[in-house]
Amino acid sequence: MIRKLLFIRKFKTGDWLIITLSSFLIVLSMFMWWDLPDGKYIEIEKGQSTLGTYSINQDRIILVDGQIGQSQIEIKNGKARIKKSPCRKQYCVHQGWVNKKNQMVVCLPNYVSLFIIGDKKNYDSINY
Amino acid sequence: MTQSIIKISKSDHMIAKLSAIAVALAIIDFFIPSPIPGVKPGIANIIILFTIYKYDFITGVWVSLLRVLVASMILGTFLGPTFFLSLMGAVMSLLSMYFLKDINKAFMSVIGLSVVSSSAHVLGQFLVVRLWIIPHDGILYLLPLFLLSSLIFGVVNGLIVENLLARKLNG
Amino acid sequence: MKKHLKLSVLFIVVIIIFSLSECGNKLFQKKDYIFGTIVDIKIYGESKKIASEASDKILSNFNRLHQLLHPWEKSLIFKINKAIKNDSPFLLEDQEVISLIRRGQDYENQTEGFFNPAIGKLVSLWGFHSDIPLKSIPDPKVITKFVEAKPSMNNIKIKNDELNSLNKYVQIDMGAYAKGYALDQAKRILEQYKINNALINIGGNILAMGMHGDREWIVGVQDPRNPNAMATLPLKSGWSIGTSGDYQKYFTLNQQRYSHIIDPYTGYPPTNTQSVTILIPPDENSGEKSDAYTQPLFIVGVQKKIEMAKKLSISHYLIVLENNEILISDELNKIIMWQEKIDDKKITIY
Repeated sequence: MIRKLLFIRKFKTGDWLIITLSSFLIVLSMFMWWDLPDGKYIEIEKGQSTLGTYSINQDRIILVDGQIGQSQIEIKNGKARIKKSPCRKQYCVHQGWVNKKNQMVVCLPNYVSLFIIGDKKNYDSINY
Repeated sequence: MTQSIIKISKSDHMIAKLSAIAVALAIIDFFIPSPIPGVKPGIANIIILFTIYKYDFITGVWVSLLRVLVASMILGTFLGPTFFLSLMGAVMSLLSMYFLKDINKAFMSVIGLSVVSSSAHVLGQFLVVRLWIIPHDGILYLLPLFLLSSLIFGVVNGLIVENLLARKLNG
Repeated sequence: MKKHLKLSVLFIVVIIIFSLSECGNKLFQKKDYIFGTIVDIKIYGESKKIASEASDKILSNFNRLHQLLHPWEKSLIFKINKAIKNDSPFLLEDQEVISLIRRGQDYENQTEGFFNPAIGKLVSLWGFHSDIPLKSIPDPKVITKFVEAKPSMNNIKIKNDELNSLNKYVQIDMGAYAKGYALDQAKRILEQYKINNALINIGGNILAMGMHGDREWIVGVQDPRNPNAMATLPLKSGWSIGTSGDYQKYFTLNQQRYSHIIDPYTGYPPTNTQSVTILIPPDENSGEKSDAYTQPLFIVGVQKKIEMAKKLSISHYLIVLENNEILISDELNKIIMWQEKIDDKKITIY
């Protein structure tokens, strides 16, 4: 038992330093990107371009023709998900519903992704 | 008897052997089921770190890049997005090793280097994803999770390398 | 030697990362505050060098216009106003200002005098030629005197480079169309640089050129009572959008809001309207019209607003009345995207 715990000895000062630094970075990045208010819009992207921004407060199915086929994106009850996807692994479908700001569902094989955005400025310039 | 024009040195053989193991580990890595796509233990890094510590940095570079190339050909992802992801990860990881490899071993063991290189791997991949595959800040949402996994697996992989090195030295 | 190698590799890596993040960024943006006006230029898909050169040119041109047209600081217009006040002829050779005066006359005639850049005296009387708001309402007798003097751009006669005014009470204030004119000039500058895709915002008036990549430019329309966009809409290439609102410049006395838009026929700021927003299709003076035509629509009585819009051939308009009622044209209603709950507001589509 004690022998098994001896691996702790292998950690040198520098290792602890790196582990501390890395943990600090992780916590910092959590604070930076994990604020979780409910989202207001969903943004759908195909490859480099944004296909559109949709209010999350509607019931709607959006069809997107991606790289390898058609993805079906569903918006319902203030949440969004990829309902059907032509990809092999179906990771995106298994991920299920998202509704918090900054959350997203990505389908790499089909180049389709959806992002939940909050009170985002959804215009380029404002007229006043 | 045919005369070979290219001389195959001892070190070439060694690189080939190490790369073969790295490729095998990369393929195992690929098929390990993961709750989040992309979060992987990165066990091929064990061989890269081992090579750098046991032999030298240049050999490590060879093994790492050969691993990326051959594994992608076997898995059929060559020149696809996944290939560039793993290439960028490998390059960033190698760069971080290049900068830290000469740090006194009494001060920092291979565990520290393992954590740094796997974090660099993740950051390199995020760079490609953010700039090329999904140009949206939303993906940064996943960064803390990936960094956490690279910390955990970095420590575990580092311990394994540490053990491997110790065993080789004893035996 | 080895140390240097490491450093140079680090250097190269940093440069590569920076240049990578650079090429992901196709949108160039430049924002500057010039004399209390925000000039915001967005250029899509051009090299940073060209985009930056062109926007600097726009900014310096706006600066030039400011010094030429400012109604109460030492500008050419200021000098003209002084000459008119002294009833003396003025030698005017600046073709740009002459054509601005002529178009001011046209707009005044088209709008039955509801657009009137000759009422600088009234604007000044209401304290809008100064940064300090009034502490009391101007003397009604003085207001009546300035209204009854009937200053008009048509009083101005230009012949053989000589400007004369038949009316001593004429004081030119181009504030109601100068920013729109600056927009049209900005468009010309961008065209000189062969820039096709841009969005220019000068003090709230916006002109679109081309597109933002593969989508149209989207502009927000400010809620007259809240600091956020109440709606967004796509602005097609060559189109301009302008708004007159009682929230842009105003002062309040005894809970009453007095805006900078003055009715030339009463001498008082109208109180029935919060804002008027219009879209003008591609035209040589698209930006200028989007600026100028909002004022008459703002000033005329509620019943006459739609009639005035038709008279000026404005197909896209959005009017928010003082009682929060919204009047919107059918064409604009088809493309507008509301950002707020508007269920509780009364909307009439024309």
